[in-house]
Amino acid sequence: MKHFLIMAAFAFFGWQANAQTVVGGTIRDAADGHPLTGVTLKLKRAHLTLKSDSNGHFRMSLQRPDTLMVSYVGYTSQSVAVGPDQKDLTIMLDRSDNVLETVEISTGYYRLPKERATGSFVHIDNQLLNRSMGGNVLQRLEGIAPGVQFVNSGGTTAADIRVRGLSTIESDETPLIILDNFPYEGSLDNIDPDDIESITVLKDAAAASIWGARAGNGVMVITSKKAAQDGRVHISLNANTNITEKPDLLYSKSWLPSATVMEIEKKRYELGHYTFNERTPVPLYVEWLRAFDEGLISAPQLEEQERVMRNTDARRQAMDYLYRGGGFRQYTLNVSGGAERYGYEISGAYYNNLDNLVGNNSKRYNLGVRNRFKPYDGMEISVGIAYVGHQSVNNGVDYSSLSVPNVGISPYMRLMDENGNPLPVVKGIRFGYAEQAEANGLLDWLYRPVEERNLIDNTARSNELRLNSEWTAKLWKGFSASAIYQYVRGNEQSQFHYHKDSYFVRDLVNAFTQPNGNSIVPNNGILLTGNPAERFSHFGRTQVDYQATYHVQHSISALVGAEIRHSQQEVLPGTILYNYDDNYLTGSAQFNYNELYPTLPAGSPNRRLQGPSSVRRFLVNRDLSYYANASYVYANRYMLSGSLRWDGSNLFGVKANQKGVPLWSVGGGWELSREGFYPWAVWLPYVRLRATYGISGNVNKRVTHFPTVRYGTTPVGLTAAMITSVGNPSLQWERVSTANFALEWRSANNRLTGSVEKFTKQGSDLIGDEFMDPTTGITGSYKINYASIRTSGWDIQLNSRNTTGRVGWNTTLLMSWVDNEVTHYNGNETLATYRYLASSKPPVVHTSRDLVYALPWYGLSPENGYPIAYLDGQPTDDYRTYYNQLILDDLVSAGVTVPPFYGSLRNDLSYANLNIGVLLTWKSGYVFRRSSFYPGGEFTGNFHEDYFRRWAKPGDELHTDVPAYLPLEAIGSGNYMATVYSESEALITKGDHIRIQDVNLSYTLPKRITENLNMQSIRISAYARNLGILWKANKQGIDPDYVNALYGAPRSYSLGLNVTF
Amino acid sequence: MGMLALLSQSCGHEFLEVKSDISIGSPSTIADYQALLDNGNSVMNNNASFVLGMIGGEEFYIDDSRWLNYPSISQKNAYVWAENVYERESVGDWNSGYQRILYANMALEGLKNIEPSAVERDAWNMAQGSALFFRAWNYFQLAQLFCKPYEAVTAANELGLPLRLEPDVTIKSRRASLSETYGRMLADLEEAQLLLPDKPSVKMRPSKVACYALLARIYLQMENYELAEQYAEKTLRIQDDLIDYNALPIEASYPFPTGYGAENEEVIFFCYIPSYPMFSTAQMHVEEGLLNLYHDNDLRLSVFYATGSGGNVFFRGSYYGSIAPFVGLSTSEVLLIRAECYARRGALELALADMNRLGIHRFEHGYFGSFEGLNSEQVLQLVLEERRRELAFRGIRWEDRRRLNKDSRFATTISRTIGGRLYELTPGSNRYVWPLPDEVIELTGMQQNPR
Repeated sequence: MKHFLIMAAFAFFGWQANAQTVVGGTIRDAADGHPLTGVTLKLKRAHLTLKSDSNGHFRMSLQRPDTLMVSYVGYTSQSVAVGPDQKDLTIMLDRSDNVLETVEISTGYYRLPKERATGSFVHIDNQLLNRSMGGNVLQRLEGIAPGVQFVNSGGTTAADIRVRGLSTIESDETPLIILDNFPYEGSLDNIDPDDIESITVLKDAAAASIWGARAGNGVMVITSKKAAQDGRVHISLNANTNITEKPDLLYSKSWLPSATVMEIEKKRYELGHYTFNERTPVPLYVEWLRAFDEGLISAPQLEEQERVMRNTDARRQAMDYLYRGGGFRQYTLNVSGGAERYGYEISGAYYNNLDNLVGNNSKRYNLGVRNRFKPYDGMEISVGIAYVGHQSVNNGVDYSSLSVPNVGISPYMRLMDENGNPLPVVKGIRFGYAEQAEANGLLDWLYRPVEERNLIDNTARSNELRLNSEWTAKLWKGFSASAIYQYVRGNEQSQFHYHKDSYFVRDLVNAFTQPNGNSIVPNNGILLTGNPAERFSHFGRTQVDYQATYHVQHSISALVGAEIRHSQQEVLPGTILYNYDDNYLTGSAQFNYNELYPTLPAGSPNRRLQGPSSVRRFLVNRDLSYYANASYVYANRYMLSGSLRWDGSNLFGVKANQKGVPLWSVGGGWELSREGFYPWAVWLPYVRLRATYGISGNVNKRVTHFPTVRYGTTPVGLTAAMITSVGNPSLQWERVSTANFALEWRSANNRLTGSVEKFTKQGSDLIGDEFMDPTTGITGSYKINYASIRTSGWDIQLNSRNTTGRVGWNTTLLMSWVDNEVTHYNGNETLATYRYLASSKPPVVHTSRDLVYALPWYGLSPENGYPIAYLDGQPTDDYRTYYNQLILDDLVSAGVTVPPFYGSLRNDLSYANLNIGVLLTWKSGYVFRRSSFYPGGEFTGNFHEDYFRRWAKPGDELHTDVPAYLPLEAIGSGNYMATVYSESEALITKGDHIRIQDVNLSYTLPKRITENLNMQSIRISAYARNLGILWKANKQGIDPDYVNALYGAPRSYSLGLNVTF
Repeated sequence: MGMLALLSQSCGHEFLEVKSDISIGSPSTIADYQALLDNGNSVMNNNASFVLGMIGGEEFYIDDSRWLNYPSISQKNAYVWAENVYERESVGDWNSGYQRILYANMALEGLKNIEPSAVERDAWNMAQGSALFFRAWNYFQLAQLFCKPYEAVTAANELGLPLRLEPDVTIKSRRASLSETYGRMLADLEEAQLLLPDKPSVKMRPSKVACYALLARIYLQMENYELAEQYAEKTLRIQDDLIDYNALPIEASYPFPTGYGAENEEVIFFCYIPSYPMFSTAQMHVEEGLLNLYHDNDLRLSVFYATGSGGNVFFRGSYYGSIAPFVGLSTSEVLLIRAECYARRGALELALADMNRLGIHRFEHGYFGSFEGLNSEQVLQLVLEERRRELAFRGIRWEDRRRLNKDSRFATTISRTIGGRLYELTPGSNRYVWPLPDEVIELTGMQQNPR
């Protein structure tokens, strides 16, 4: 497939078998048209070789039709079919440094030159992929693939990205991942990025009709490195090491300093807001105040304590004792070799990641062997086996886990004393009671976060084995056949071991201490194993390809095939062992898990002892597909393509004809620049137009035509059925029609290349949640075909070679614009206003699905600093009535939450062997709702810096929107004033920003040095990521990618070494 | 190439017939429908629609500070019979009641299409009868919360419940009249009692005796004392066991056995609600008025009540055997229904015989003095008081208040004072009828109850 035929510019008829004729012509540079001297020309069947002369001319005699192989250093080789009397051939050779021109796209079903493709593809080659470093292959695409939007910055799973916006509301919206011809269902973290040759992103209808129903959201085809063919042994060694900075916990605005929180707590204590009993946790400071009031400590003792607390910052404590600078190490060794008949590739990789959270780390091992045999010309067999082992340890205690109900996170919380001893913090019960536990004959009941992580051992392991085989054979004439088969087997298991002295064990032993003083839970370790899961799958495909060229001008390729998949997953029950001793691996499961035991502290509800998980699942997924694909090229410049596919799966609870969906697409292309009338051949030698249109469908596995139930067993031993779906007799599958138009061009010498693509996706009969009248028996929602959405946009890519020569400077600009509109909505439209303010709001016709609504904001009252609201035109302070009478039309359309306009700018500079690249990314045209301090927030532990910006006196309303203090008594049930502020447009913030995504630097050692060392190349590289924001629209210091996060992604720096022999 | 043949259409069809998840199914057999109705702990016998009634009743109170910080807004408002109760919170009583009605309707719809063979007849009857019983039982509970008390004269013009009789969720809900609502319950139960066995194999399953007991309760609520007595009589002919409270383990945290009524001979039909924070051992204070009704030697005082960590007296006498309140049907309740009906028609001896039989099982051995020589007013008073003592925390008080308020002899105003503010619920008040959930009005435009 590597070679394809370039047709001569005329047809021929009536060949005479034994006539001897002459073939001749000129060889020229395709970019500027100047003749090429010394080009090697070889007639394949005649075994005749010669070179072109100084004018690029050649002449040779021909006995029968033959293939002319044209090759020249620095240019891409070509094969040309030659017939008699072709005395005036013009063969245009393409420069091989032009990456774009030689790109072959792998769709997973076939490979084709990019120039023949009518669909919308993005090809990320090895070089581009390796400009960034990291353990996850998806992460490397951020900012370099047009139309691929990272919804979650730094994402590592398919769910973190959107390819060209939305085409569904409820159904799976993640792109399909293909690894070496097969849909990949494991974690993307399992793939070693250094073993990847290229990634192709399929974005339009052509993608869907190739990959079927699961491809409506785009497809990412990941291709591994292949065995070599050149008879040499290639050894490549990669070593990367990375340092990630400690997270900056000072970033979050949801915080108040210790002194302020203590002031609030003191006031609340004086107002009698706290309940004092053994079970209910109260803030530590309140414990001290109470102890002082009860005469247990003296005034100086309290003052000393207050001084220490005031000078403590829990965030810094957490940064010092819970977090650290992390990083990873990554090593890959790749050995490949072989020649025409046989080839092999062996690779091994090790990846070790040290998490930012102390106590968390993970490891990955990859091992792979691939073999390729060619028993005779026309048949090839390849067999590969790959293993991935993954291990992670998750003992870390993070900052947010320190939050306690009714208390929140006390900013004066201390984790370690001056002498390095771990300190206890408030946990699920009253601290004062926990302190007394030992005196009361119980075990120590205090929780020390810094100590806890050393007393638990939580690990997760997974293994995956993949076996691939492929057989291809040339049949008769242009026909060839192939069959591929894959077997995957994987398992996962997690284990939680709590040591005897861990808080987890002590807490259980104490809680289950019975009135007679004995505990139901033995004072020893506890071992919990999560539900072990095992899965395997068989996947097979057979395909017949046909390729032919008729009368030189007409080239046809077609394929038909079928594929079948069976995958099953089994989940087994988990176990729990009490009285577990790690030294002898002994423990007991003989407990009464049904009995309701009284528990401590007094007043706690009766509890059952945690028993083993009884979850048992057996899932089978089967798919069956038939497909056909054909393309026709005329005169190398007109392309026509079409495809057809039927996808069926073993969906349950649907009618037989709903088990499958048909999909199709058509496409066309026109290489304008090859036309005789094309006027700008010199400065714009390549211009092509292409378009596709197709229909695909999304299958939603969660909806059924018939009612379905899940079976279980009740405590009294009866078989019970739970309705999982009441069924929807009018159910239809979602249909998505996609149209794509593109223009691509290259200027002379590839100085300026690029493409502009316009796409429209129209999703109809989209399935979504209709709010249900609970009288029907369904509370919440019910899935119906309820809306249509049109998503449309542009993807623009511009590459510029600003300078060539010794100093190279390339610029790539990616711009994408995408937005969507709900065009039709079937559901209930008489909905209450509050539903439109929720994060998953009902669709509204003629608006974007990503639209965010806000309450109108009229500022603060100059009199009392409370929000201004109007009822029937009159100012009101009855926020409840005000809020409840609002209708949808009263709400403000405050913008969209997903950036409609985004892109990146990449500059790569090279000087000799040194390369520097800087990638900037930007997002604009969107908003987010920032958090703030709402009235009454101090009573619920919802602290925020805006506390200091509260209205305090008349006049403040001119420069603040944060409402004044609201006493607890005034709040009543339902804090509507807080809602009127929190949901208002005052907190809607522009998200636009520009970010330095990453910087990379690499240096390849000069050839003379490497040759002396007997090496092929040595490359040293450095890479920095998450360098920060260059510009942002908001003035609040919020990183729009990490709006309500505790901290943004910490900066990370990597160093890499690549050696090839 | 062989594989292509393998993928031929007919074979492919079978290939895709394999179930994607062994533990799910599409119900089609009698056993499947029985399994829907046997889903006791998650759906059919749990979360019964008694919560608003329990909270609105007069059996307990919580501390002001607890109320101020109470997590559920709707329960907090219900506690003071507020005008606006739910503030958009979903209403568990309504939602779970109608969920059970959906289960029953789904079973009924499926069973309608099954022609049982002779050997399947018993199973079909069991499922059909159970579904009808569950539907009636839930409509009865909902009517006590969301409809006015039944009055034979006006019922045809009063707002009843939306009567959903088919599982099709696309049918729009519409309120029936109160007489249609009660008529449906009675018709369902009359049909069910013909199909069900006398006694159930498991107390979570309906039975003939449960149908009779429920009919007695419904007719009592309808003030049709004649029929109430007849059905009470029929009930007790099948099951009239009483527990001797002297035999209960008083020292246990919860004196009644767990096991969903299996070991409790008084339970006719088992049903419960989970414990809400208000009912918890730490928060609940049993009303002094209720505690004062018990005689010192009445074992129920110590069996039903205990002192919690905050010095509060809480209820621990649930037939669930733990803090979750039992709200099912029991022999003692039916005995009291019969006694009341006797008393109302002047059969005072019979009434007192029932009262004395109950008393002997509830008092410390040797301390129960039989009731004798009371006039009819006194006997009725005694039976009604005994209902408070015996049926405490079963959600029945709310039903009784609604019924008895119509009689000026028994009408009382119940009240709560929080932070100096007085909240009252007067006899005949609209507040004795809870509003329909906000989202029901929002989505269906059904007529709301006046408040």
